[in-house]
Amino acid sequence: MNSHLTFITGEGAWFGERSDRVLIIGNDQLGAKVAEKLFLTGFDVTLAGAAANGAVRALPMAQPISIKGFVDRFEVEFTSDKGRFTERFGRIVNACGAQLKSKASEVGLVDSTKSPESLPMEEQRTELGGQLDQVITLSRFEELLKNGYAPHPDFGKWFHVSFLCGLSGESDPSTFSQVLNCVEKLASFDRVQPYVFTKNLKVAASGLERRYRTSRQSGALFFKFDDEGPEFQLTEAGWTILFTDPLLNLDMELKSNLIIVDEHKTPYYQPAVSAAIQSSPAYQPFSSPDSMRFPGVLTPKAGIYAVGSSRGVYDEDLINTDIDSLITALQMGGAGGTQQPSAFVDEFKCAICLTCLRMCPHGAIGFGTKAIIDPQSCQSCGICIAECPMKAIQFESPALTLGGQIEAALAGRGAKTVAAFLCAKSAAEVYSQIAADLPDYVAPVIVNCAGSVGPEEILKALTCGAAAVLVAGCYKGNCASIYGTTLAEERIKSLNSTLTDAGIDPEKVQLVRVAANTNDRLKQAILELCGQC
Amino acid sequence: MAQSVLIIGGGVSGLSAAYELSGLGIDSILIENGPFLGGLVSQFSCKAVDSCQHCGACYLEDIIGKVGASDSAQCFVGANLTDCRWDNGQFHVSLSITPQRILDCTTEEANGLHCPAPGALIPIGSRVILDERRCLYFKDSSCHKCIDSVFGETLKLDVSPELRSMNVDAVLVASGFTPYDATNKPRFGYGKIKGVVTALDIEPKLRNGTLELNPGAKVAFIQCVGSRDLKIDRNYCSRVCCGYALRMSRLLKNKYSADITVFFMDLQSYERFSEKALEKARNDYRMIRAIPSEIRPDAEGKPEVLFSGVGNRTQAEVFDMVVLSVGMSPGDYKLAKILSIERNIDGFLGGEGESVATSTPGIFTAGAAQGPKSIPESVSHTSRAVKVIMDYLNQKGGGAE
Repeated sequence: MNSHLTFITGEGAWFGERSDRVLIIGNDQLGAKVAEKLFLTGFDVTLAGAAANGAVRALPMAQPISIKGFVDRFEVEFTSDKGRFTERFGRIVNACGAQLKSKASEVGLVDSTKSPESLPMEEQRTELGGQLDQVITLSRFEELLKNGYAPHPDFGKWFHVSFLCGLSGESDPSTFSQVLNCVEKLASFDRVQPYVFTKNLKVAASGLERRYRTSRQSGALFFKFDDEGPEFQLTEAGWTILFTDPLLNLDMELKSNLIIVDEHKTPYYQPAVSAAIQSSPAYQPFSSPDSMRFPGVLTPKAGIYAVGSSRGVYDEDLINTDIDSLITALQMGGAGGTQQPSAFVDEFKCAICLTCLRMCPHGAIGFGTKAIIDPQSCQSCGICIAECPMKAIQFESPALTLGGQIEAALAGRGAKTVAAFLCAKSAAEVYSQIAADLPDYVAPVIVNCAGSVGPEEILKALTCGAAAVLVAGCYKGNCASIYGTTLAEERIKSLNSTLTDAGIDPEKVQLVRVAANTNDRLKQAILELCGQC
Repeated sequence: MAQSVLIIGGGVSGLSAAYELSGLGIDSILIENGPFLGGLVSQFSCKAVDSCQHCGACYLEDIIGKVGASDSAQCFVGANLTDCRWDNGQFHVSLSITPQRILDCTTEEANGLHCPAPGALIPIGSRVILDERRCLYFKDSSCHKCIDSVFGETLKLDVSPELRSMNVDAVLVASGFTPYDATNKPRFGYGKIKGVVTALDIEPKLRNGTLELNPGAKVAFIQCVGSRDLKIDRNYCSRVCCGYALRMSRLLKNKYSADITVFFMDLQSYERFSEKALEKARNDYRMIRAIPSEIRPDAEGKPEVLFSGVGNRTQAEVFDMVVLSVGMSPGDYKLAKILSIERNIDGFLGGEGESVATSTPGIFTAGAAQGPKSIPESVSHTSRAVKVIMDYLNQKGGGAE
């Protein structure tokens, strides 16, 4: 290996010793649950931002404010009541629970729920014994029932509890499951009538349809609305629910003792985690894109994982699945597995402009006195190589640079050649299936990501004799480098005038977005370009 | 010697399990009863329009590549489990492996054979593979078309299955689901009325571009066919059908300018931003909250759908194509018997909820074999199973040796 490479890959040379510790960032019981489960599996766990269960080490008052470094060598700075401090971790898990926002005002109600955290235990107890406010949120009511709340119907009367679920904004199975939890509990009390007002029953989670039917059979009433939901009228006696029974088409009026409103669930925004995951602006407030390129709890940043709401999973069963799959991911270790040679920086060429650091979608680049690429985090997409204005970055291997590959692919070809840059994650897969059906003047150049194809590579292909150039990358939202194909698209657009000036029809340079299973689409795009040659 | 796991099923779940186990230093033997890896997902089309719709189908190509690159995962296609016995701390398993039936011809040449069994001839790369499970010759010898053709020689029809047996430390059942058989609902005329199809019928056609649909065609989706229906003992939601119907609608509208109507009971969220997605669906398609009572052929033989419309009056409307969103039914019962594992309350293999354990220690389930799941959910569920398998193996390794 060249001597100047030791600087980059040298063990501990620039980011300290390897750590096996796992940091769980939480804000509620979810963090505590994840931390406890990992602790019991044998991980060296620290929970920040929430109180822990059992013997788990916790920094309940600490908030991470910056995450530096890479997998196995993270350096996390916290602020807490005791001031700022720094600790080292090998892995980081975002296990922040969902942020809840009452929908009361959206349906025309005013809810008097105080946030459960702000309510001291003393007050909670009096509330359990006394009269509840008429309008409260679902999560609050669920908690009250758990803590022993019992409705007390007036003598000879029924006690009506109305649940509003997904009347404003779509609901989800986890919320519907919460509603059913409450309805099932209420079934054990005499003279309590539950009502559920909704637009769509969200039963797409295990057991929910069965539970819904059982609740209905045991007397709960479900009303579904298409457009006009119920209206709420405030009188001196409290809120009254006015609605048209969608089945009987009758106007109804319900004086409900309790009105339970559901809540919007959104991920809790953790600025330090978002900042550490370079590409996160593309999918905020989540910590990972909704893409099977990052299955399960993986995020684009090696060593940082997202569990539960931070990746859009709210259902309790599915969160438990997440926690177990997190353990598998942690035990598998590594960066989530690129076998490809990673990129490295030539320190004599690097001007520390940090273009690479800004452009890397995987957060694999840092800097000391020069830019540094972490080999474990690098996914070999080649975006930094295409973006570096100093041409200071290249892959460790193969011996051929992309320019060399282009030359080799086009050497000895005729004047009708179509150069096709194919993303290894999608188009190359398709190409191997359709190659037999294509004319022999198509010259494939396989790249790890369309984002590695810059103006230079396109011009190179044209000067090497290609009559037309196709760049085949992934669909928006499915690019393994988040915005790699979009970068290629923008570069091609910006080449337009250069090509026109050089007397080349810009139509001869095309980009197509495909997936690993869209054989027809790639074939069509290639044949179209072939037709123009 | 490394511990080993038998994985039953070569779909996304089984393949992910093989990949993850190999990353954890465990050998796996993966058996797939079909003639190729990939399971049902291998027939699914990409639903991307301007951007990816996050169905996850292309993950298959990704994971097949990863398993292929691994040394510790051994895959057998055309393989069935015939016996499984507990033997001194291990499972002694017997396999029957049929040779791949290959037609050495191009896709076009295979189409020229006019195979009467849909899905029996499957183009893979530059070859065509015969799926015995669908082929009429293997069913009742009623068709010899491809055998008699010039490509028939490579089919190796006279080669009998190879029998193998081996010891493994654990078994993972990832055998997937069975799509609900729509002929069990004769009122929808599936198989009788031209133009009534299931979503799974058109997936491969969308994938290879052979779906015949005129621009502007009227297409109806009927949801919950074989789901949420006590009459047929389906007391569960199949979870994925609203998502696949709405994704497919988007694709049909985009590609064929199809005029879409969706008949539904309750719309399930299927994306992170489900509010936006469902709002867009309501704007772009006609959404009718009613499951049609009947489909009958009109004078031209097109499907005419009867449904309860405005004011609960029965309405009839003719469509060019009616797509039945068939639900997920439990898979292989024979397998449950061989492994002597119990089925859960919905009839799927293994435990309740999202569990991965079965009634037999050492045997686990993952993915849609255990209950309806989307592709991403199956992959996560499989990771969970891998975690639980590792716990089991660690415990076992500590006890036995």
